[in-house]
Amino acid sequence: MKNETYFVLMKTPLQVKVSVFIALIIAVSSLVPTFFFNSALNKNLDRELIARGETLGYSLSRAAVEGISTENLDLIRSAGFIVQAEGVELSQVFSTVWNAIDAYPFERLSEHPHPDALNHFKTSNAPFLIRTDKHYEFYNPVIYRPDNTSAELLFGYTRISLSSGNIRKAAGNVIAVNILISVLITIIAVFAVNYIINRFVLKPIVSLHNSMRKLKDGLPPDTLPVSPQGEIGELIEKFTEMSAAVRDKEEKLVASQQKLTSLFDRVGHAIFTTDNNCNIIRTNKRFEEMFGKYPANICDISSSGIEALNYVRQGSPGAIINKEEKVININGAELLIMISLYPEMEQTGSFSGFDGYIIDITEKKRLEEELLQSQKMEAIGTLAGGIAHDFNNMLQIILGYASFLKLNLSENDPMYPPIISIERSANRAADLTKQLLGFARGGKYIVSSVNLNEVVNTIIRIVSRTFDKAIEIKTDLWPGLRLIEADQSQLEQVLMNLCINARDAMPGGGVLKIDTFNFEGRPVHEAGPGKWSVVRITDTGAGIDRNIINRIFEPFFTTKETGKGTGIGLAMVYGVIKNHGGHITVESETGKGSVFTIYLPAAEKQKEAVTVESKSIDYGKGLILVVDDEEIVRDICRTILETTGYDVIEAPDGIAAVELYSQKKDSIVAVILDMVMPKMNGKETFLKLKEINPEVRVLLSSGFTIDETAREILGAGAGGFIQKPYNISKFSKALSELLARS
Amino acid sequence: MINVLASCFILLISLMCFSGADAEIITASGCSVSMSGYLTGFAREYEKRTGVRVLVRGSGSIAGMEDLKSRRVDFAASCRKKFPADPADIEFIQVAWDAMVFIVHTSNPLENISIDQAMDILSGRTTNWKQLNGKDLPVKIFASEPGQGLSGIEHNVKEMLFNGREAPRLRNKIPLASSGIVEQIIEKTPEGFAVSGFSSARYRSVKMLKLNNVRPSRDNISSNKYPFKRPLFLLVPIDPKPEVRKFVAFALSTDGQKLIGSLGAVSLMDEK
Repeated sequence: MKNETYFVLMKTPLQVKVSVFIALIIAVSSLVPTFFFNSALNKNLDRELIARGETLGYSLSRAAVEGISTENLDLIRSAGFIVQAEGVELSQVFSTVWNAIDAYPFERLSEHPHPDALNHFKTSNAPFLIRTDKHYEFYNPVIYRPDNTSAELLFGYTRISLSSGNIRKAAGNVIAVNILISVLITIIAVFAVNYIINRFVLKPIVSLHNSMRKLKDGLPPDTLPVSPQGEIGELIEKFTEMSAAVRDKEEKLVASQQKLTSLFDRVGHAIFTTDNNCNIIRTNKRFEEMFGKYPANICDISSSGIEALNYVRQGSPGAIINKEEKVININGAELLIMISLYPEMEQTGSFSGFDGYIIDITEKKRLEEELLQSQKMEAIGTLAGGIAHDFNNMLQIILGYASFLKLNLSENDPMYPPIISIERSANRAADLTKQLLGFARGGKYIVSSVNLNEVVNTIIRIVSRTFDKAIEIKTDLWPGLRLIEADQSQLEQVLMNLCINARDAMPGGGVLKIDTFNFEGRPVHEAGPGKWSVVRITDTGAGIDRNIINRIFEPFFTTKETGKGTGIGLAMVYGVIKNHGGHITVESETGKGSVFTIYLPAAEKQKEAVTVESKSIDYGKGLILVVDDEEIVRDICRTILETTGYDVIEAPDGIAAVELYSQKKDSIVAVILDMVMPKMNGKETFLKLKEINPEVRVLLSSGFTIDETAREILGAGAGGFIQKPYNISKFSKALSELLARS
Repeated sequence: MINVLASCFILLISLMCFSGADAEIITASGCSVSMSGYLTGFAREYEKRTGVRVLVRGSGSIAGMEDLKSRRVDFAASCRKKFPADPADIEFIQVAWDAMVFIVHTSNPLENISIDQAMDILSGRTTNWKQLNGKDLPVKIFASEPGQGLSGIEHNVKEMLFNGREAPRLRNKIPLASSGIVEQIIEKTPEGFAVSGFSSARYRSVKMLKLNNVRPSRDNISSNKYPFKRPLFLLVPIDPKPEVRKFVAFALSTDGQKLIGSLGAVSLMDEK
């Protein structure tokens, strides 16, 4: 109750409080003197009444003596008349035993005296006064003294009753007038003082107060009235200055806040603030884009919880946490994020919540993995290429001598079948290394304009004959497909490998579909924009597990049973496509099938080209310089050349070759030049030879597939390129073509 | 010498008289009938004869008794006999006779009243004078009933009219302090009716009604023709002041009784 009164008092406006206070002061200062005056007036009137009553009482008692003594009612009555005056309500004359002898008014004759008076006169003859609310009663003894020396004789008593009501009424009137005047003065004074205070003190203060309140609410404060003089004026002046300063700062603060908020929302990372229970309090726009508006708790963005929070719970809450996490975004997709948590501490040292941000690193991680994969493939390619080079050199010897022996033996010779077996095995080995080189860098042999539709048709012809009939084969080939610059045989091998994989993925049958189409743009993230011919091989097979899909292009990676797959097929596919400047993508879903899409850059010149390969041996004549650092290769080369009609001189390295060529440049018709040699490599050697004879005819030979160096030499004027291992037919043809060119 | 001695004697006597007169004051109060009827005149004559100043005043028998009890007076007068409850140390000494009379205003046409009619009025059965062939005025009864015991009149009414029963309280009966006051009120009240004593009423300008056609007079009372005769007493303490004793003795003396008779009251000697 006390508090309620207090609050009501506090809520009352200042103006009312001051008005009430002033009114109280004026009322008190006006009414208190009135009260004292009235009190004094009452006392005076009282005293006057008593004096009058005593006089009247005494008079009656004196006047009644004779009447009583003679029992003369007229005399007694005359005495009673003497004291009749205003305010005398009753006069009585009693006998000594208080029998009323006479009374005025007479009707009140039998009215008994007050018991206190009876008691008083039992022991005293002194006058006696009794005060009641309405009356003052004056009792007097009627005393007769026959002479001065005689004892007093008691004849009876008198009673005079005066109404105090009249006096009180008179006093009441005076009081009422006094109070009325006081109230009037109070009201006038209150209004006057109120007006003065209101005009000169309160109004400025209330204006000041309203302005302060507006300032507090962020509204522009009122224009304050012209300042009065004195302290209030100074106060208003200072307030005006202060409010201007505050507004200025507030505007700057708001601008700064808006800038920060804008920045907060424009940041590309999700930002959030939590309370100490990790309940989200605030987020930026990016956060809403990623996780929707206001997940209740930061843990809600992950089905398995935020691991970083465990670090906070287990370790020091003051530490800053950076952690990679898997979360689910608003679309239900799994994202890989980097979450950073900055614990906020209160001044008391208690933990109040987190500020944090989330960076979506899903794409970055994917690119990193792709880069890693790409680097790995490149390393493997380099390795495979190196092996294939040496392997081809070895096969070159085997195949060379095998073809040489076969040429010198009749088919009836008992040695002939073994030679055929050696040659066949060596050829198979060569195929294998060819595929390996296809995967490895720089493995294009023969580049020509190729129509992918024809490649597809060639493959379809093969697979439709050889594949199980349970596999339905469909094609959808785009008639206007762009030509590409490619090694057709390698592409055939690529498509064949993919079809075989598709078949193996559909042991119970299914649909194998190959379609082609043109594409413009960037087929994959790392590719540049361009025009592409696309071939897509789709199967409805088992699909590829997500966990291994990134490894399927690695050499020797296979899911097939031991002996059924070499693990080189898809690696070759990958290598060939990369060597052709193309891209391959794979999409697969376990149980539903796989889609391999190959993008090959469209050729700048769109023309038909047909490569025809002849199996016959071309014979010729003339001196051929064979340059190779490996003696055994030089030997087989000599054997083949001599078999096909040529004369041969040899050089073990570039320096010797240049020297020999300079000596016999006129007789040497062509140079067989190995690309990879110590001391002076194939390119340097070629350039020296070219210095000696700009028209020099050079057939480049390498265990590697054609690469940039080879291309450069070819561009500089070398006549041709032949990849090891080669047989007599291929070699003789390449040589005769070189010689025919000039 | 003789002259000188005579002068001294006279002076001494004078002094004695003066001082005696100065000291000899006796006071009395009580029965108004007695006071007005004989005692005031008797006392004045006694003072003349003896020089003893006797101050008497009427206040009613009861007041007189009370004054005496509290020794405010030296003796009292009463018109009733001694009751057992009265103090034993106060003697009631009859000194005269009186009779109870019915009085009305002089303008009242009524002259005679029967005992029954008087009883009707005092019992409240008659409340208007026209019931007694008078004016159409309500009867107002005034009675000496101070209320602190039976006054002399009250006692006489009770004994003589109501056979010892209390007279009923009536609305039209106004009690007053003493018979003296009653008589004076009747003087001024045309519709008034009261019972008082013959001795005092004869001095007032009131009409004393005949009772059963017998006029209340000294002769009729003393001859018992008029009923309701009653004694008048002086009350004295058993150890009175000598002056009182002398006063009473004088009242009872032949001279005294003659004096009472000469004052118009019925003395003891008048009884026939």
